[in-house]
Order: sequence, then structure tokens, then C-alpha cells
Amino acid sequence: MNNTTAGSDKAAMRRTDARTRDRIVAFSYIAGIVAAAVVLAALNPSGPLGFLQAVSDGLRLGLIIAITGMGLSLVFATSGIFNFAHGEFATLGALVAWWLNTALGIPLVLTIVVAIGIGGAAGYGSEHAIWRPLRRRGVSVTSALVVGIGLALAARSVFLFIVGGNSKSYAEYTVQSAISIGGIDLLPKQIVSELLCVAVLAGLGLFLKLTSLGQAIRAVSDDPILASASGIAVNRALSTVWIIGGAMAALGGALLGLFEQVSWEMGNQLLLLIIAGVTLGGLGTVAGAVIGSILVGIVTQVSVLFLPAELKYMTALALLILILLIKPQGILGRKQRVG
Amino acid sequence: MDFASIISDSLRAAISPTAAAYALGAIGLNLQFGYAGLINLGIAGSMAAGAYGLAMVVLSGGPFWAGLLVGLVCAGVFSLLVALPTVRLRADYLAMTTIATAEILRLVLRSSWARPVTGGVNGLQRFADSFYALNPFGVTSYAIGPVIIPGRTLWLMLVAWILVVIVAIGLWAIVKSPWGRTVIAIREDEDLARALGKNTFNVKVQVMVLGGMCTALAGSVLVTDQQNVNPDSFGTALTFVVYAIVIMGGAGRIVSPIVGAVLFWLLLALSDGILRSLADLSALSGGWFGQDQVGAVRYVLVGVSLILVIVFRPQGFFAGRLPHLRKKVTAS
Amino acid sequence: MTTTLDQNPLGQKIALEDTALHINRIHRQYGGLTAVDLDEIRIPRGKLTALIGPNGAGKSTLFNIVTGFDKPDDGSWAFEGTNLAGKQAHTIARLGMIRTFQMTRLISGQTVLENMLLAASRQRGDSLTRAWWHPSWKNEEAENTERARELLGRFKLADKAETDAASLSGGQRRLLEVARALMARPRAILLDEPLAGVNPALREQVMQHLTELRDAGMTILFVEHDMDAVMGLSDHVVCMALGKRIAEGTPQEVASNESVIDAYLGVHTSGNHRSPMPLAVTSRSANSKVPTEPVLRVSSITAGYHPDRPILNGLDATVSAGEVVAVIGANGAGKSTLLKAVAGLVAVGSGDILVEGKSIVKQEVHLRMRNGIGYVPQSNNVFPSLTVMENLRMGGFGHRRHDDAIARVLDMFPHLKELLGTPAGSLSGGQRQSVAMARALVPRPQLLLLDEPSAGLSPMAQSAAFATVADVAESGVSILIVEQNARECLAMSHRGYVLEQGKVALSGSGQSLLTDERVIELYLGAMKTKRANQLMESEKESSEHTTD
Repeated sequence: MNNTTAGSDKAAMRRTDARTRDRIVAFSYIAGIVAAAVVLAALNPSGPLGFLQAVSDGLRLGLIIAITGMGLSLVFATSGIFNFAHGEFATLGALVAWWLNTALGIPLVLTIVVAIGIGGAAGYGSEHAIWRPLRRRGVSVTSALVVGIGLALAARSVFLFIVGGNSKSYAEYTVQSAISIGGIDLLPKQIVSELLCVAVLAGLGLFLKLTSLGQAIRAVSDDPILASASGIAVNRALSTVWIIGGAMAALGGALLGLFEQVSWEMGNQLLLLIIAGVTLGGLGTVAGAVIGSILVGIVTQVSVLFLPAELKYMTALALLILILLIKPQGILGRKQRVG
Repeated sequence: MDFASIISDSLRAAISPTAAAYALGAIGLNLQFGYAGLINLGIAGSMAAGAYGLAMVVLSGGPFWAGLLVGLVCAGVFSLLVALPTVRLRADYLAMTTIATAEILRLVLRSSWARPVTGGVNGLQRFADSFYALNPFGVTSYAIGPVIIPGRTLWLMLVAWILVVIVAIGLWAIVKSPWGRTVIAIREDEDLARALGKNTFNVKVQVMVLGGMCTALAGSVLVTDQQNVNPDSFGTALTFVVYAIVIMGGAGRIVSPIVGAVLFWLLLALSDGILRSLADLSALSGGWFGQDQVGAVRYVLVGVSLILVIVFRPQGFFAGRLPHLRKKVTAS
Repeated sequence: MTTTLDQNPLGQKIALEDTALHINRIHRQYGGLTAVDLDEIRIPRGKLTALIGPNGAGKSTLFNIVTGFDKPDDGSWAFEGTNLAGKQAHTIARLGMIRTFQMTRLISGQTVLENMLLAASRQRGDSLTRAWWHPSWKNEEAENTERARELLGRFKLADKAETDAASLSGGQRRLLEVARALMARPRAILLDEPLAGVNPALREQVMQHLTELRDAGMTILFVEHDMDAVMGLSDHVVCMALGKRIAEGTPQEVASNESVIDAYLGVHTSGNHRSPMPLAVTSRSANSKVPTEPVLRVSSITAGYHPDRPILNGLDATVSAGEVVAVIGANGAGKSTLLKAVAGLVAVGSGDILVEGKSIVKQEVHLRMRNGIGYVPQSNNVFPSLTVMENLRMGGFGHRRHDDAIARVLDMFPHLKELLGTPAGSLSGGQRQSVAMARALVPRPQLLLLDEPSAGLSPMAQSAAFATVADVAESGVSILIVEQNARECLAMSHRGYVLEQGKVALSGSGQSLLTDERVIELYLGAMKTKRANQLMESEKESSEHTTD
């Protein structure tokens, strides 16, 4: 009798050990990054204030990346498909907001709301028209990737077709005077954007944690077969994920248009950043996507202090490659087969 | 609508140096993706390495053939560096890494920091003169059937298609060998290959390097044709188009990427021609379908065709072997 | 010259210099689960050694570790004197140890001959630098081709040489795998279930070939579940259970070893079990409006993961209201597949499945779950990142008022009440089992499908699991339970089915099957030894003492 209790106690201890080990590893990654940040703050040519300004700008970018990329991460977690066309939802959102704003004169705030709705509809549409039939046929991972590539190419070209190749701007909020807080310049639209992003992310977190549909989505991402064997309508959960993902990405694209030019290839530029963000944080984890995306945003902006501005995306990409080589599951990711 | 000129334009596009270049790129990608099953989304990067290597050597005074060789070496080194840490990764992660490395290369080549060597955003020009100096056809135009081709283009066409044939034969030879058997085994069941004593890591790296070198030739031909090396022409769109060619032609056979490239450009030029005529007609009546739109539509067609082929005929038009596209992902 | 004869702890004598594969110590852990925990084992050279053991014993893990496909946490082993720890899989293969896999692995799309050529050892054409130049490897290729054809001829596959390897039958695939292994000029062959999926006609051929190889001096180590084959073929047997070696010796010695029989059939501590409630008393059957229709009727179904390789071959079974029905049988007999077919997780080729008279064969999985079936899988039975409470809520998904249902279920599993906020992934195996069962019970199913509820659990947790199943049965739920621990399971079941090759080989009441000799035969082959008979006698005595 004593052996068995000791045995199960040992097993329990090993489990706690493994969990503590995971936590320590994640913590040390974050600690390492913070330490690097402190060093950079001290050493950079623009001084600590310039560093903090970069961090603030990076936060703005990072939150937008988080919102845009969340759908990619959730879709991967629940259906195992890595959708290379996800960035196009962002372009769609930005273009819808821009067109309604400039061509029809509707206030930008309203057009952004419409953009969110259209993004959600596009997500639902692509799931039903393309991805569900593919899954039902049993496509391989490679096929799914290629379909995503084809979709991205087609969508991008449709956008080019409709709006032409020039970059555009919204009709409102183009120029604002910055508010200075503690020496850092903040644009009012930036504050609004960041607060909105945080609110949406918090809302998503609450949805996933508290509602039964949200819990069902988490269950499906843990184990789709067990989910259906528990009576969960997996298809409904997946549709919801696509709607949310498309809507959030459209919002992200629309918000990005406040700070950068709106163009037919916005999604392409964003795509690599969101890949970096969600993979860095851990594909399939919501918290990971947020942390990773914010990190990517900050790293991108901070690198401008050291490197020419045109190379700023390079550091984010380099970070992606680095994490894929060291810990492909990302900072918060769970151990899964990656090779 | 002038059908005669549309058709002759399409035929010209089908045999043009551009088609040959894409054929070379498709052959290289076919080795990596069709034969070995490696989803390398960064071939634009190895193409750029080849093209820039060529241009930089020529502009610093070297002979053209040396530039070609250096381009090959640059692409080989680039592919090697990318391959070493990534070939053991799963498909999605391999795709992500390769697309990221190609983009990094492009950003670096494009940057003002690299401008002294790479020409930055403007790229490099006037490096092809020594090549065209060897042109035996002169400046007159020649007629091949209904198609009229200027002498300089004909010279490049000849060299490019000869390269295609040489590379195709070379690859055909090694694919038939025991090494080639291992490559196919890696695609179908890598663990089995390992259990039979094959060093699959080495072979995968070799495939990446070899394929990369083929795409280097593709990049060299492309830029010699345009006489301009531009970093923005080596973006992800280029990779995607080559994928479209490989998949639609049918991966896994030596000949299919070549036929795929020819057909691709034929169809693209055909649709371009028809659409342009429609645009002209529409412009006459104050329509919205202008010349800008024509350029965009071609890629829409490419993207949609790619999806349709994957869904309905994953083995491509030529029934190449793509059994690895048949394995399932998740149950729904 | 003195020969060093070491006695391993079980008293077997294998000389060190007669050892082909010498395992010093191998330890492999997955989180809290011990997969392999072995001390010194010596696999003799030039003999047929069988590696047997029930599901989850660690046999495949051991194979993977020894051949370089998995890394142990600790240990070292040597093959013909060469240390293998830390070596890569392809290096080990080149050293002469060739393995096959549990599921046959061939390169589809290539001919049988090309599959053979892939295995040829040390080909010059393998190197990229030489591959270009055909003359450098032309002769070697011709030699290899000739050798391949000769081998194919020996294995009676010569006429298939130019056909696609994917077109071979299960038995032919196994034959090809052995022939292919020989192409690699091995010094030892490790076969993972070489007889699985082989029809009886070809089975003799495969066994014959293995015997001939052994006679020619080849070292062969094979995992098998087919006990007749094991007893008939092998010179030496090693039996594993729960990661450890529990018996070793000649086939006869191992077959009569009590701990081996216990490992396969489960330990049945007489006097400790609860007999199933007599059917008339259960509240469900008293209240049910349609007592005549069985809760579940499975009618001649064929089912499997691949359409052309069915695992169930015309199986019939029923479960009546309030019954506990056990499904037992050797590995690969189709027990889990039966449950999955009822749950809808495996495609049914022909036949029908009726729940209370209504056919559900075309119904989607989650709808079946909402219409009275509950399913508890063997592994992956909880959502690891969800808390226990959230796991239970998933059981009630789509139902209203599931809070009441959850409260009711928690009364049946009171020890879960204090774990409600814990993520299920950090629970022990026994706790997960409880959560999984509780979750399946939330929507008040009529029929509960349990897949090996005691698998991977410590003996104490196993007793607790069986006690829980008995409680659930008493509350009126009909249960169809698959178990490795056949004895314990049969003791608490009204009826049982013993499966073999996808069909029902034996059926009867739980008590009668418990004391039926044929059950042991179906598990362990015709290994009737005095010892096994003695065990049967003591079983009969104890069950006579404890009749209710």
C-alpha cells in the first residue's frame, strides 16, 4: 500500500515539477528580454527618453498586430490550419473603412464598425466556402498552406483591381497634435487605438473564459475529437472562431490605417509581422499571441533607434527565426511536435 | 479585337526568356517541393541571391560567366544557411522560416545601408552589356512562325532554353539514381528512410542547396532580360507564382515544371491580351476597366486557378505524383 | 578458455559473448508516466526472441529507443559490442540493426522493386556527387537489382516486382518488409508485430521465413501479440508489463509464469469485487417505457480506419437496459474499435448500430452524444487546459440547466469537488479518469461507453475506478466496458463478449466467462500448462465461496 501512495505522490510531484519548470522557462525568456531592454535603453543613441518613445510607439503597433493575428492563432489552434491569407482580412477592413469614409463621407468611426462586420462576414464566408470543404476532403498540411497562398494572391489582386496601386489615407484624423506625457509624445488617436485594442482583447479573454461557447472553443483547440465526443458541435465552434478572427483582423487593419498608408498590400506587410508575433508568443495560445505581438511591435520600433528605418521589419523577422530555432512552440507554447 | 496579334503575343510570351527563367525556377522548386516535399516559401530569396551575385560581379568588372557562377555560389550559400537549421521543422514552421529569411534578404538588399553594393531601392542596371555583346543575331528581328523576335531577345532565349535543357537533364539523371530514391522516400516516409540507413538531414540540405542553385539561374536570366535588378521584384508574389506553376504543371516529374511554365505564360499573355482589348473597348465608352486593372486580374486568375487545382486535381494537369498532398490533416 | 556465464536476476543464463543486443539499463519517462524501466537484458545472437506484454507495457517504446527513434532519459545499450546510446537512427541502421514498424511502411507510388532497392546497403549512388555520373553506380545498381529480385523470389513476391507497392495485401506487405530488411544486409532484424494484419494463409509463410532466417544464423527480436506464433516460433521470450521486465526464459517457462498471466488478464483479488446488481432491481429498467428493445444493438458491422483493412468483421452485440457488458480480448481484436464505431469516431462499412431501436449509423458524433450516449476514451480523455469545472460543463454543452446536472454528478464523484478550479492537465491519471467519466455522465446518458478505465493506473487507482463504475451501474446507466483487466471487469459485469479478429469468439455471463478456460486460450494461445490449470482451479474455488 505504501508503495502505491508513494508512487502516485512521486508522480504528482513530477507533474508539479514539470509545470514549475515550464513556468521558470517562460519567465526566464521574459526576464531576458526585459534585461536586454534595460541595456538597450541605456546604450541607445537617443537616450532613455527616445527609448521609451520607441516602446510607446511599439506598443501601439504591437497591439494592432495582436488583434490582427489573434484570428490566425485561434484558427490554427482549433482546426490545425495555418492560413497564409489571414492578412487579407486586415486589408479588407482598412479598405472598407477608407472607401466608406472618403467616397461616401461617412464618419470614420462608423466605417470602422462596418469594416468589423464585413471582416466577420468574410471570415465566415471563407470558412464555409473554402476551408470546411477542404477539411472534409482531408487535405494535407501542405495543401492547406498552398491554398492559403493562392487565396492571398487572389485577394490581394482583387484589392489591387478595385482600388488601384496608390496608397491612400482616411479623410479624418490624419493630422493631430501630440499630447506630451512625461516627455513622450502620444497622439490622441494612438491612445484611442490602444485602449480599443486592449478592450477587444480583454473582451475576447472574457468570452473564452466565461461563456460556454468560448469554453467550447478552448476545448476544441485542446482536442477536437474529444470535443465532438463530448457533444460539442465542433463546426459551430469553428465558425465562431473564423467570424471573430476575421472581424478582429479587419479592425486591426482599419486601425493601422490611422497610422500608416492604406493600400492593397497592407495585408502582406502585416502578415509577416503577425506570423512573427503569434509564433513568438506561442501558436494557439491567446496570451502568447498578445505577448508575442507586443514584443514584435516594440522590437520593431526600438530597432529604428539603431538601424535604418527601412530595416525595422527585419529585426522582427530575425526574432521569428530565432525563436523557431530555439523554441518553436514559442515563449508560452506547450510542447508539441514541430519537426 | 485583334486575335492574330493576341495569339502571336501569347506564343511569344510562351517561349520568351521569362518563360525559360520561370521554368528554371520551377525545376528548382520542383526538386524541393515536388520531390522532397519541402515547402520552401523563400525561393524568391535564392533567385535574388543569384541575380544580385551576377550583377554585382559584372559591375565590378568581372566577366559575365564569372557573374553567373558567383550567383550560383551566393544562392547555394544562402540556401545552405537557411536549410541547416530549418529542414528538421514541420511543414508550417518550415514555410514560415523560409518566407521570413527571403524577406530579410530582400529588405537588406533594398536598404540604403547596402546601397553602395546593391544599389538600394533602385537596384542595379547596365550589367548585361557584356552578355549582349556576344549576340550573334544582331539587331534584326527574326520570324519564328507567326512570332517576331528581335535578335537580342533571341540570343537570350537560346541561352536560357539551353540552360533549361541542361539543368533538366542533370536533374533527371540524379533523380533516377539511388540519391533520388532517397529524396522521394523522404517525401513519403522519412522515418522509414532513416530506419533503412539514410542520412535524411544531409539529403534534405543537399536538396535545398541544389534547388536554390537552379533558382539562381532563373534569377540571372530574369534580370538579364530586363537588364535591371530590382529588389521589389523578388517579393513573396514571385514565390507564389512559381508555386502556381509547379503545382499546376504537376509536381514530381522533371518535364512538368517546364511545360507548366510555358503554358502558364501562354495563358497569362492570352488572358492579358483579351483583357486589354476589352479594356480598350470599355475605355471608349468611359468604362472603369482600365489598364491598371488588367495587371491585377492576371494574379486573381493565378490565385483562383491554384486553389481550384489543389482542390480538384492535386496531381496537376500532367498527373504528376503528389501523394504527399493526399495525406490528411485534421478530422472535422 | 572460461566462458563468462552471468546469471540475470531471473535465473536465465545467456553468455555475454552470445549476446547480440546487450541492454544495460534503459529508463524513459513521459511526465508522470514510466514508459520503460529496464535493467540488464541480453538478447541472444542467432535466435528468435519474442518481446511480449499487454498494451502499454513499453514494447514499442523500447524498440524506438534501441533503434534511435527515441531518446531515453537514462541508460546505455550495445549492439555486437558497439555502444549505441546517443547514436542517430540511420547510423544504427547502418551498423546492421534493421527495424520494421508496427504499421507497415512502404513507399507508395513506387514499385516493389524500387522499395527493395531503397534498402540496399551502402550504395555508391547514394552520394550526391556520384549520383550525376551514371557509370559510377550502374554496376552496383545492377547487382542490387539482381539481389532484390532473388530475394523477392524467395518470398514469393517476384511477380509483384513491377507493381505499385501500395497494391500489396497486408500479409504481402509484411513479407516485403522482411525481404527489404534483408536487402540491407542486417546483422539483426527487429520486427514490430510481423504478423499483425496477416491473413492465416500467409501467416505460415511469414513464420516459415523467420525460422529459416534464424537457422541461417540471423538474430531476430520481434514484438508479437499472436501468442500461438510466439510460442511456436521463439527460442527465447521476454515479457514486459508497465515498463518493466516481469518474466524471461523459454516460451514454456514464460507461459506458465503466474505474473505473465496476471499481466494479461488482470489481477482479480477475490472477495474484493462487487458482483453486479441483479437486473430486476435497477430503477431504470423499472421505469423504462420500452423494456423490450435493447439499449444498444450492434448488427454485423464491419469497421476500420482504412476502408480496405477492416478491424471489425461482422460483429454482433447487444446491451440491455441497466446491464453492464464487458468486452475483452487480445490486442488488436477490435475492442476499442467497437466502442469508437458506436460513438461514431470510426467509419462503419456495413451493418447497423441501433440505439433503442433507432439506427444511428448515419448520425454525427456530437449528436449521438446528445441523444443518450456517453463516451470516455482511453487516453486523451480530458481537456488539459480547461479546469475540472469547465470540463464538466463541456459535458453539458447544448443542454439547459446543466448546473443541476453537474451538481448531481459531483455527488457521485465527491473527491472532484475540491479540484473544480484545477486545470485538468495537471491531474493524475486516476483523477483524469474520474473527470472524464463525470463529464460523460452530466447529460444523463442511457449508455456509457468506457474504454479501458483502468489503463495506466496504479493498482489502488484501478480499484477505485472499478468501484466508481459499479456505482454508475447502480444508478441505472447501461455500460459497455472495454478492459485489459479482464478478470476484474468480468466479475462486475452481467455479461461479456470475448473478441477475436474483429468478431465475437465467446460470450456469456460475466461469472461463467470468469471461470472459462477458453478465455485464457484466446489471450495467451493454446498454452495450457499445469500451472494455468491450477490457477483456474483456485479461481473456481474462490468464486464458489463468494456467491451472493
